[in-house]
Amino acid sequence: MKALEIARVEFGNMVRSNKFLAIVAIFTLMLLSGLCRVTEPSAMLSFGAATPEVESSKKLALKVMGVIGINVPMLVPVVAVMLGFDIISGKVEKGIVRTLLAQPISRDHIIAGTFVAGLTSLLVGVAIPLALSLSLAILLLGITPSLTDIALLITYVSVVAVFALAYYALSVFFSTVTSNSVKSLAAGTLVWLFSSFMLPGLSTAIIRLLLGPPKFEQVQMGQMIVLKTDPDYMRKFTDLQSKILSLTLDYHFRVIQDQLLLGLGIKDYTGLVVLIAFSLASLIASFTVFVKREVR
Amino acid sequence: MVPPIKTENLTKIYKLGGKEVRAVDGVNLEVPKRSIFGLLGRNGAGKSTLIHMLMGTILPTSGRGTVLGYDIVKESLKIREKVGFMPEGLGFYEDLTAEQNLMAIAKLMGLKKPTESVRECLKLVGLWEYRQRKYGEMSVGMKQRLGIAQALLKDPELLVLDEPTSGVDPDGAREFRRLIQELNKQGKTIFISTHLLYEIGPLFTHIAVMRQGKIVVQGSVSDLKEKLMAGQGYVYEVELSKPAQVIIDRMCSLNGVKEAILEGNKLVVLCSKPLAPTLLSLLEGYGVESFRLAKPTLEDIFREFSG
Repeated sequence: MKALEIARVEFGNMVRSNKFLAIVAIFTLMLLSGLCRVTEPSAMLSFGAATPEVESSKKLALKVMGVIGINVPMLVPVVAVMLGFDIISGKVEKGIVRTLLAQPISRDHIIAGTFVAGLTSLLVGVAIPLALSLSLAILLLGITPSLTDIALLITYVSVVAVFALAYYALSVFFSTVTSNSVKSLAAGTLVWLFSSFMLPGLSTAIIRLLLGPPKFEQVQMGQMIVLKTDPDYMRKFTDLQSKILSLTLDYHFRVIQDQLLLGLGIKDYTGLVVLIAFSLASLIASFTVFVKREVR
Repeated sequence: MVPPIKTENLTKIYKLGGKEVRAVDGVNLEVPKRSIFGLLGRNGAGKSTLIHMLMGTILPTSGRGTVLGYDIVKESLKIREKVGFMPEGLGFYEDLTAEQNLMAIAKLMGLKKPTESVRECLKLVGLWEYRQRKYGEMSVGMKQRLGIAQALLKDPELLVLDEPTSGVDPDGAREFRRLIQELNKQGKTIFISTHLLYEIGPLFTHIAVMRQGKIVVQGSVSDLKEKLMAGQGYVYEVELSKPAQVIIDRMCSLNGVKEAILEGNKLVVLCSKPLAPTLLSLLEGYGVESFRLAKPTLEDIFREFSG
């Protein structure tokens, strides 16, 4: 009960903070601007009547996912890191942990309450912008989603929430271990930058070092002769790249997202299991570190 | 009667960079009931570590202690339920108001009438007018007062305050002294750790001086002053209506007088034992305008023992 009371207070404090409001506003606007592109007429579609009504008759959820799916892998980790980087360190720095420990409360109550409040704020931080942007898109663009669309979007939002949870848990871990918000933010941002931008590029270089330069073969196509990469080399390249990138959280999310974007639903749950297991391990590690630490 | 705070050989050893640091070293402390007890010492003397051990937020390496009769290791939650504790560097939720912060703590403590308790405490510390102000927008003095208010919420018989006046302006310190005196009159025992003697020093009925993790001296302030005078000597300051050089030789010949100095009309006599009646009879006829024993101050005691 004490943990829940702490969670209630913390959540109230979090949602009142300027940081939370700013994150929700920015995330909502980014998603809305992405959604607005759903009805953007393209040269191919303009042969017919590219009105919103015609567009909405197609598989709306897939289109929405296709549009926001470009931004989500970039934005969600940022939102999660921003929400989690000071969740423990901030409390230590501001003396809130000391105040709470001056009451008949144990450290496990404090961290459990903080987790509940943090996870709730994370869910709200992801759900509100999605719900708001979708509602605004429906109102402004006249799109009417079907039940299938709504079910698909809810599935997608749930997967996004799991992805956000993984980054959030990592950020909480850094926050707990360092007890320093600046260091925690730097570590969280570094992991995000490395996973999203650096490793994909670096993986190509690593594979080139392992496999050597790509092999080409000449293929006759009609009257033209084109150079085609050796299929065996390409297969090895793809396999190795998947193995390297599977070290990142982003890879596992993208695998699930790609399945959803193909309209097939989730066939392979490995990515989801990895993200959930990673989140749990990080939260348990944070819990253990915090509970064993003494006031200094 | 069980003293509110009692420790026996309480020790805390930290390992820093492979080296052992004895932050608190074999402390034996006894705080009398209804006293205003000052735990004095320079920064890094081990005061805060000792206080956190008493409150159960740091586990001792060895030794034992009780607070209000509860064991500091096994019954720390019970201690924090009964004792009003204001740790150094405490803080509250910045986006909640003073009242919301206190309400949250009152609910965490499971108080039966949280609204009434919060109202009373806010009024007691003079924050009632500012109850709707967010913590992040409060001054240092107001923040400190809110810290005291949270310690008073449970109406404790023992208050433990760690560096309560650091960063507080002179008006705030004066207000704090008034509050402490009022709480002490209500029968509460107050245990204060500080290195700022001039602000709250005059309040203390008892003190303990810590130095490098050890308690070097403890007792009632009057006893300690007496002890210091016995060790360093009794200084009598006399003002005469006219200079009387002739008196110096007679003074110095008295058993127990170490030194006598005359500066103009002012005579200073340093004695190894109390000699007031003897000195007064000797000075008869020399126009004594004032005669007083210069008692050591708390600063003198602190300086003598804190190293």
